[in-house]
Amino acid sequence: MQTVAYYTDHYVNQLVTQFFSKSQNLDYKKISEYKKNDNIKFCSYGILRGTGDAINSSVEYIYIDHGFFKSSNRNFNKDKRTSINELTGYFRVIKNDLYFNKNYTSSDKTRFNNLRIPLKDLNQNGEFILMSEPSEHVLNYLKIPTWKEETLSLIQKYSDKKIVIHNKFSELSLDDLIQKAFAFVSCQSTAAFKSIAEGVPAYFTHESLSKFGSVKNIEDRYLNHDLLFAAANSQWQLKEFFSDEFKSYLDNINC
Amino acid sequence: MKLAFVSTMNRKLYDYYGKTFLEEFAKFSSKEIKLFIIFEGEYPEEALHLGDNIFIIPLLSPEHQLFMKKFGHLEEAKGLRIQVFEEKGQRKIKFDQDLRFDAVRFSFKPFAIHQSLNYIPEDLDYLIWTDADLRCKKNFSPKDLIKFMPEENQIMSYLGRKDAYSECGFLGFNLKNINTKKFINRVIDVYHTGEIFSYAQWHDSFIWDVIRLVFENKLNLHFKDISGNGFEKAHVYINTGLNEYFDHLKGPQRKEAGTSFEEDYSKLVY
Repeated sequence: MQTVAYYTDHYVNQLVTQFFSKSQNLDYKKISEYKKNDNIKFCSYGILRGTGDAINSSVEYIYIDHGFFKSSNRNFNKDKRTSINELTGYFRVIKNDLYFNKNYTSSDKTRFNNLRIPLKDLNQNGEFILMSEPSEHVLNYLKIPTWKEETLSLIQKYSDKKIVIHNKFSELSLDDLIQKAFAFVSCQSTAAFKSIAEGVPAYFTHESLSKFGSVKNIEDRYLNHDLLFAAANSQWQLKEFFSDEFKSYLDNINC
Repeated sequence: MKLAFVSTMNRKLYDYYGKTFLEEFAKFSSKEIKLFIIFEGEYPEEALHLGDNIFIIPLLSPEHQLFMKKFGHLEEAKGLRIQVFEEKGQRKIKFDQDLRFDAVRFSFKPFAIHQSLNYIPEDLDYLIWTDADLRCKKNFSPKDLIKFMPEENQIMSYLGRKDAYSECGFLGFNLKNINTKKFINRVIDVYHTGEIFSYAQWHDSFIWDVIRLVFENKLNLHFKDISGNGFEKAHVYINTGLNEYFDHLKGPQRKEAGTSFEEDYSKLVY
């Protein structure tokens, strides 16, 4: 099956797909040229500007987005625009999923350790369950418009702790809130990975990640460090796209 | 031996000579040589397709943003010179533009080099800065360019000129030397701290020289002047052996003509 990288009219998408296609000698086409073809493995960055629809219609695809840790420095503005200061951070590269590789999990610690992220012990003084709301784009794309209400009910089924809701436009920073959290609940948020490192167990509602932490176990408070190691093995900087290690990774996920 | 090129341009320069450079680079470079273009502002979509070994990267430099935020609004930092003088008993003020003091215009090169360090393959041996007003004349591979690269104990190769600042249309950085990034970072410091305005000239060629001399004389570190016979020539670039593969369209007349001139091979600095 031939892999083809598609680009949109957004410069971040163009930069990432350009590095991916040219480093791996792949065909490189504009998203408007995409036609459903079961013999083509679709590849792009993000779910906007036509890529989400293409992913939905593809049998196999490679999805690239910001990484789980140390992603590029972005600011989420009040006008709901995101400004980007640099693109030197990590990008997750995932096969047939938007969030996590289903068929390849490596818990080798080397890449995680290279990130020099300290792993804190379990936070024993958590005051509340921190619930992180997906962005509007994600809610629409995953067709989960009532995620907030449903997840509130789900959490309340398994815990009577106070619940604090956060989204990326909240006044209070997630970093500050995590310090006081008992547990972190999200659909598929990459902030969950930071939460685990900070000693706050994370739980997911999305099927790709809930096997690493299900809300029904929220009172068990298990810090799943293997999830962090696996995540670090699935994210790459653009300059690493040229490396033999990245090529091996693509072989491992059967790209 | 692995090497890559880096350059910068904006849309205006792309249309003027940058596109020709990219097309010729794609045609004549061996495929393992990558070219990273740090593009200032919006680029045309066609640039993404000019070569499989050409990477278009938006200018995304927090350090350059800082420099521009501090100094970009100052006309003096863009080359405005103000002279007060007496003429026929009258006190006069003259406003003039002087390229030698256009710190902003010539800031894109050092910041592009600095930014590219975060995007280029980690196993590169050398990174070559080239001005984008370059013509490529014949096929070239890494082995053709090794003679222009610094030795193991040297930080950078450059084109020195007699009694003038170096010609910085070509700089060859030794990425395996532990002091190379320190050297580049020091140049960036000179810009965003404003130290640049304490020097006699404010364009990047002058600044590369100033910092190189400090590294050579105070830190006892080494650089490679590759000018050879071109040292005394006004157009040093094409008198060094680089002209076998490239032509540098220095100045507006050569850009207009699309070539350097015959007398450039003999004309001395002064």
